[in-house]
Amino acid sequence: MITVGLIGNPNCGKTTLFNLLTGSTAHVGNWPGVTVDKREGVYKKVDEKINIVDLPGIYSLSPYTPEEIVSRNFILDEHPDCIINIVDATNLERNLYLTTQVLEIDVPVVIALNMIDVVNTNGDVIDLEALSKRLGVKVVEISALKNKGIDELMKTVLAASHQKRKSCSVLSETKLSQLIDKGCELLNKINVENALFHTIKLIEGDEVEINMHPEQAQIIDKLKSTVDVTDFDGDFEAVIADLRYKFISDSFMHAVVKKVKETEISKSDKIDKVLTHRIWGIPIFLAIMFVVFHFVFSEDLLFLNSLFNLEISNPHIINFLTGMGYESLVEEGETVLAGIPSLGVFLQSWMGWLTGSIIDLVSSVMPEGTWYTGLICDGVLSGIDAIFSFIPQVLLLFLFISILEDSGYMARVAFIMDRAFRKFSLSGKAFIPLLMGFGCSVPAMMATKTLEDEKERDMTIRITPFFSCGAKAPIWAMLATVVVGSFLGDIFVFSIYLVGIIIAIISAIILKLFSKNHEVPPFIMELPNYHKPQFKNLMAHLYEKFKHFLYKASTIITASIIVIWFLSNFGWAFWKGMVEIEDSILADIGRFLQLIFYPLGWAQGEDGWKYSVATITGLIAKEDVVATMDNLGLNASTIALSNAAIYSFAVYNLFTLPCFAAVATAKSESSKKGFLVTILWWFAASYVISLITYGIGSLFEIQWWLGLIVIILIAAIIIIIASCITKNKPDRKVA
Amino acid sequence: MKWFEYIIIAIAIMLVILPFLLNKINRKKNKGSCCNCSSCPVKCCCEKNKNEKTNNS
Repeated sequence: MITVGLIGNPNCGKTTLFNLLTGSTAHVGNWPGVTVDKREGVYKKVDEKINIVDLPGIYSLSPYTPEEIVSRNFILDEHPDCIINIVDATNLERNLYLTTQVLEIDVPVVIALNMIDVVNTNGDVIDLEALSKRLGVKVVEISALKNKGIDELMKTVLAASHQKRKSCSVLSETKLSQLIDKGCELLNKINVENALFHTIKLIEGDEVEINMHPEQAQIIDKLKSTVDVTDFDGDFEAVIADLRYKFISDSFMHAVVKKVKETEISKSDKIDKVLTHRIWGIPIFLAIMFVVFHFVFSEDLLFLNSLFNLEISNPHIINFLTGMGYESLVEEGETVLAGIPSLGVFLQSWMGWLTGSIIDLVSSVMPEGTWYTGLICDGVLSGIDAIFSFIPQVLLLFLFISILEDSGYMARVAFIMDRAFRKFSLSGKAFIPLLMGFGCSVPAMMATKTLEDEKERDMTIRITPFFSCGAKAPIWAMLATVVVGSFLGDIFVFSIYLVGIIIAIISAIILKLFSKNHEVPPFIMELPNYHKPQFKNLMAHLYEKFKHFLYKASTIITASIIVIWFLSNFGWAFWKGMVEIEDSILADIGRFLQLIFYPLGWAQGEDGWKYSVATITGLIAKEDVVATMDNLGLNASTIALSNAAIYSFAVYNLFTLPCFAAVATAKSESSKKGFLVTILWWFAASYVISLITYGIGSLFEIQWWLGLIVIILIAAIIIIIASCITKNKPDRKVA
Repeated sequence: MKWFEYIIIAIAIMLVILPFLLNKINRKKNKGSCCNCSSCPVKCCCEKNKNEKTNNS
């Protein structure tokens, strides 16, 4: 089996090509830096099996971040049989910079000109032969997204991998050629592999290279001292970069004919003028997110009922829209449906009806009143059903988020948020892992490895769970149906996500108060072009999400439901048989927990202990909150909390400790001291915010203006603290 | 108790133990739950096993 590495600039389509070649479903995102480690797969469609290695994107072989080092070390140390250098054909000039460095290594190289379909659509022409001649390697046109040119590419790769290739440099005909030749000779004498590459890197003064090969660095330094440095202004790095770009622009002129002049503004730039606007950028982001939540959680689509008093009284339409939920009421001829439910609510109703029917069917064939009917129907099936009925809504939410991601908009969000985050010692780069937190906190926390600064990493891990993950979505979906004025479900869920982001920023401000002032590294990100989201990619995202949920539901969630059912149906003397829920082991544990949570509002009253238990089981997996509540008899029709208490309960679950898997990840990704602070922070933040929420919410319920005054006062205090911090901050440098 | 009630109890206990068991087996195999993702730098078993197989063959 031969080994082939995929190398290229960030966001040039390496992972898309990798998935296409190996049949993998690795996460593809339309922003740079999605892949942070190498991964492998096998391509079998040619005579010989090819081991494909997908590498993190890099701009050059002078690495700065850990993931860039992964790519560089793979090419130099693992001796692949061939390298596929993926080049974004729409941005040839910048992509070829890396190519000029890859050519300096003794490895067969094939250049894959990706996104050639976009080039053709733009009316541009690339002369492959001219380019291939200039670079001295084979160039193949492909479109990884549209599966074009892949077979030809792999045949070329197979042929190239059986031929040896001697390295060459585009600097060989420049004023540096003598120095490079001499250096190469000296390194060859001491049997250094890839002597040409190392010589040039050492002449450049590459820090990684000097640290890794101090002896060779001394040899090259000696050689450099014999050269008149005035020719190079003493800055070899700049001279070499300049010479490379000169070569690229020469090659480019010969090989590319552009239809549109570069001075003309592209379609993506035109869209960006609006979406990344200094003032309107954030409001537009919030508006887009609200539209998403509206289509997923609203029971009054487009506010038709609120605005035009649209009421539906046709029983057949009501039954269709509500998943037969109102069937019995309709028969009595009393029901009127106020407004049309959104797609998410529509799907949830039907799923609820479907799973409910299955449970009814199972219950009807099982004997009544036995412990095992209780375990199977009221315990396991009912618990899983409680979560499962919200899955269509969760998947729909992720579909919309995936569309925003795949189109390239989410990369812009990181850019927009950089302005706000930078003031509080977080860069937009930290926002990328946080965005992943909307999916799952575990990969999000792991992705903080891309942040160079340890303090920034700790801070990002601390606020990652505040970005509501997919597992928490069923909690919001359930609470949205019980919040008073059920037609406000979309606003309720939107506000939960928004509060999460706002508290994350406020947390960063407060954490900043306790840390020494440190400069935030500049955030440089190439904004990808907007493109139509790919159906295949979107489905792959949803499939992964669903598979993950099924795995969780069949393992940890089922296990915890069984334990909860046992604890809620048996007393301390469990061998004596089943008892009433109020006398159960869980009730005793819950009543103890109730004392702790009592001030937060939702733990008050008869059912208070049930909510307390549900929040604790949420530590196993957040979906367990819904399953536990259902097991303890709390559902849309039995939850009797005030809006203030519901909001307080939601907020507590949003900010408290994430699931154990995420806690373990936080432990492995942060320092020991940092981890302890993180745990304390999660406990304190959830309790205090929940308390404040209940307090303000209660004031709103007494007199709305009382609550408003308190909110204004708190906002004023935060703004004063924030402005004190930002006064001492350096100006934003790059974004 | 009837005979099938013992089976239900056994299955219920198995289901409770299953996640821990799977976790232990996966850890033994050095297998993470995120083998298909690779959006983070966690080393997954696939890579290690593949290397071992390649070396053995």
